Amino acid sequence: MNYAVLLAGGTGTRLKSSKIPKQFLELGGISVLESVVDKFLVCDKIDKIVIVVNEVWLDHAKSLLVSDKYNNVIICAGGATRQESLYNGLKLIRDKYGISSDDKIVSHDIARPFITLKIIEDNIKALDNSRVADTVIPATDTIVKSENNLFITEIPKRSQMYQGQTPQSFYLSDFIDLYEKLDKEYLDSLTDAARMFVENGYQVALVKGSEFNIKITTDYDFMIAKYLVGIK
Amino acid sequence: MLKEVVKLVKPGVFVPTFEAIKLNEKVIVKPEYLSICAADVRYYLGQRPKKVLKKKLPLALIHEAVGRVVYDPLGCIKKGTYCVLLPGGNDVTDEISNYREHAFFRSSSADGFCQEVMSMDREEIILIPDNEDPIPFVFTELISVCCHALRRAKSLYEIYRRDNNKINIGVWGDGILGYLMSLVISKDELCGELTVIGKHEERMSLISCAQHKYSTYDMYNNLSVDIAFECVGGEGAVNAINDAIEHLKPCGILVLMGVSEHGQLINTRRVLEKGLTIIGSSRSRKIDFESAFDLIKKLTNKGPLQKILGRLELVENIQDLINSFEKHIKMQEKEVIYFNI
Repeated sequence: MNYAVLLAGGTGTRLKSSKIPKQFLELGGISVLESVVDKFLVCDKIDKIVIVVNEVWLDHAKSLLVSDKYNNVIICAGGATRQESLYNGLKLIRDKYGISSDDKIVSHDIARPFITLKIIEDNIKALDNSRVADTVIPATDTIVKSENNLFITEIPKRSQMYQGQTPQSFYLSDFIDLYEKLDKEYLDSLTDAARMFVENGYQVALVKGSEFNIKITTDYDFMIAKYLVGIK
Repeated sequence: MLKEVVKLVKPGVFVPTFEAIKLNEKVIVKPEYLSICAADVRYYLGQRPKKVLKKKLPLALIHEAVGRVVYDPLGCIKKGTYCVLLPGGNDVTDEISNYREHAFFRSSSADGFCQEVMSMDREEIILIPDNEDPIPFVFTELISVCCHALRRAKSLYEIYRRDNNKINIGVWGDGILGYLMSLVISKDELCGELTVIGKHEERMSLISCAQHKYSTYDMYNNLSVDIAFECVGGEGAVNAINDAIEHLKPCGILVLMGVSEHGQLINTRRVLEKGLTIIGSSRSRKIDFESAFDLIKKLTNKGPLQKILGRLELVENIQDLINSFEKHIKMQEKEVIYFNI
């Protein structure tokens, strides 16, 4: 089975113009949450969808997804960190449907509503040749590393740099096995699933993303998103 | 959901745009195999009058397509089923609706199929059986235009019919339209001898369904047809039209199918002398799509279509799309695009 695990755990602290988290704001007359769920719903390579939402907004999310078309969509509460939220979603799949060795997970940030079917399908395809896949685009800006926030430590070659996006995709059994044997402090320090896999010996394949697959985090991002949808 | 729509904003310039669509009772289809038509090229090259371009652009191009059903809210259509996409919308209620001034037509009055996904009425798609290769069905729209033209010409011919003999037909033009028109005529039981008049030896050699073939440089004084189809268009159309007028029988029918942007001076004296009827035919209705669909299904190994299929071009971004248009213009082949943007 191919599962989509959609992460909507954010509380919108970096979006100053609204008290509502970005995933519940409307873009083109539809909430960002519905927009992303619908895209995965129409992807014929995805069998089931799980949405992980911050506990405070759980009822709100459920109220948006009342239509019959969402009957097979499951919503659960997230955790304290991104990794824990993802784990909660995966645990729910394990408990409800069991684990099969070929169960694939496509995890995606709800805050990236410009996701295309091609990117989703390319993620699933990438798992035919690799255990893990991460969606990226080549970095256009030079990346500067600083370990003390005062001076540059390193400027890596730009041609080797990419910007990470989502989806991040992997086999369900790999994530659960790895997550359950790693210690909590380490897991809390991780900002995404790909890093956990890379740092624990997995080869992670690159999947080509899109410049338009932006993450709505700040007011600026939301303005850009609105512009993209309104463009004629 | 937000879907990507690739629009031509000015000649030669495509831009990705995004539109929100709501899931309702309609079927969600991913246009996958597309074919560029001469009408698309005229927009791309800016060959339409400035006023028209200003009114119609930005516009998603391409109206010949096969799509894949990715979602059916009613669960009637299996996911992954391929289907022919109809560009005329669902408002075709009578014979003339296609020709009304504001008729719905994709890549003209409405966005074409250069879109990531589309929400379509069930009436706007024709499902392709699982055992069929979907690619040759990308010709359905163009063949439906030929079926439409033949159907209209035949029904008019009945008014002037003098005997029960089969109808002798001439096709002027050896391009893709001429080729497909000849194919459609050759499959029609009421049609008798088919003559094709063309200019290009290589293209003419592909047309194997005609009883007679003449180069425009040949002498074919004895040629006399009941119906003539002009499939030339552009600057060559005027010669083809006047030649067809000469070879039509009295009260014959001339069907104009090629598009010319400039006015053509045709021999109206001969039209009047012979009492000819001239029909303009460029669109088609669902009934014609169904005829075209059946014709394609019955073609053994799809041989006649395989002969004119160009290479399958993969389009994953704007640059790929531009490259496909440029190649189409140079090669004059019927290329099929695998659209996966």
